[in-house]
Amino acid sequence: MRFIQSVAGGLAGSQAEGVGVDALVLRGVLTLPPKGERTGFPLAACKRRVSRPRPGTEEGSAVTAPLRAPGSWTVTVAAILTALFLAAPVSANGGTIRVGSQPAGPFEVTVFTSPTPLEVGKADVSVAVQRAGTNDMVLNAQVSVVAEPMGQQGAGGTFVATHEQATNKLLYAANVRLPSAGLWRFTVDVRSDLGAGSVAFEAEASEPSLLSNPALLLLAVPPAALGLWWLSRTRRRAKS
Amino acid sequence: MNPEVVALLFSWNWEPPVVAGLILAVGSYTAGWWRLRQRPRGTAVAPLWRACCYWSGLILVGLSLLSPVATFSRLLFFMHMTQHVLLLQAAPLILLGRPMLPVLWSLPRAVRRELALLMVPSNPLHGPYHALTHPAVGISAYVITLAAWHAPALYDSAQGETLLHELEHTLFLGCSLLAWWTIVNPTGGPRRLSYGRAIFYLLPVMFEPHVLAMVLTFANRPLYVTYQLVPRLWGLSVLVDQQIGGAIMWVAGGIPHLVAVLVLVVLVLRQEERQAQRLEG
Repeated sequence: MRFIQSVAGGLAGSQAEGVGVDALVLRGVLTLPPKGERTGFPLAACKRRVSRPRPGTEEGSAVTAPLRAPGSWTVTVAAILTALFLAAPVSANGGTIRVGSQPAGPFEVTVFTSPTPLEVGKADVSVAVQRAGTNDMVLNAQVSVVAEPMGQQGAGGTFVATHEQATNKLLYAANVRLPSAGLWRFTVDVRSDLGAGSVAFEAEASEPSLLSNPALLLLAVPPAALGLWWLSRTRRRAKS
Repeated sequence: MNPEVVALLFSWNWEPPVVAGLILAVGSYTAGWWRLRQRPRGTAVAPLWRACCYWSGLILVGLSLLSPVATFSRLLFFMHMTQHVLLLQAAPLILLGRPMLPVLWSLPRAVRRELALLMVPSNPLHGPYHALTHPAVGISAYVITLAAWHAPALYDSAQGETLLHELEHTLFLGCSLLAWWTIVNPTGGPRRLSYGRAIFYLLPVMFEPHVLAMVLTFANRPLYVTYQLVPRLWGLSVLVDQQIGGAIMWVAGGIPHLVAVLVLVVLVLRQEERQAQRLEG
């Protein structure tokens, strides 16, 4: 009963007692105690063998059995989550400011690129178009981005920037392909019923690195976890 | 409706890794919580209010990293401050959900036992864990992180830099979890600080956002270069934007700490009442 009280003990939990650290977690790993039982630290029940309950038996009465292979739905969910984790986060959400509120005809244009630094492959160029003088956002313009390699091999291209491709729907975004590393020249053309204008900037694209997608670092987590578990298990076995 | 308002409402930033992390966090907790509640007297061990706290905490994390608040934080300082406040306030709610127990129960029994054995005091991992959750570590990490990332040089260098910006947000959430760990005591073991001492522990955590907010609100010039370069929206000048950001931090930043102090005061009074009754009896 004392265990249940301490578990359900409001915001701060029970101050009076505890068994070492993380009593709740350690206790909770095992079967919940029967009514009236005063539970101590149940380490004795933490045996190394892999066990699961037989049908019709209490979970506490362990029966040695092999660990079940994960079901197909578990594998599917795990695969989807892994794919999401590792998806390249090229988002049209700003990034490095390449052109800051520069006049271009009747507009003031701001250009962002991401990722930072630019890398070979897909890059995002986001453009904010404002009416010069008033700073009102112009949302009905036609915006295109021309990417040209400077002094190196590789084909550039013209890419249409739209609100649909942008995360921030006030901006226009284009997914630009950069096929080779080196210096690139970008020209942003803006047209609307107010008139036309363009701005240009240069940026260096480098070869992709591991850090370009930080989520890839998560790949190191499973081997590290397995290593720690193996180390812990080896020490326990040596002690026992 | 104003097209700019429509654009604001639809500017959600569905970053796949964040979405995957949130699905994993909600799914594993809910599966374990449900499993616990199917057991005899499981509702007492996994009450609904704790699950609601946990889900609310994750909703705040989701709002701060995926919603238009995140999208517009690049253009508006006050949106960025809102994002930080949401991240910092998610931590106590997540811990109130006591996530470790349900998450463990979402795992197969054998894995659950192996993980539990990692937390036994004789395990080599227990030492670092015990040190990390020490009150001094929690409060230092929180205070230093909050102050450092609002320093103009560091703040400006993180904007537009994917990795550094993600590190900033990870540290905000992580250090906030460490600072609140001592107060909420999510593992249910012995408390590292008594209720009375916990009140004093909370004071620096409570006042630091106010000091930062004062600096931001009363500064007579823009402190961050980033917002002088980006397009200005809705006629807000850089300085007004900064003042609104400071006001948000001032008002919203201290609410959970104030609530926690009030709860702790009630707990201290109740404890003293019990002691007095015991002496009289």
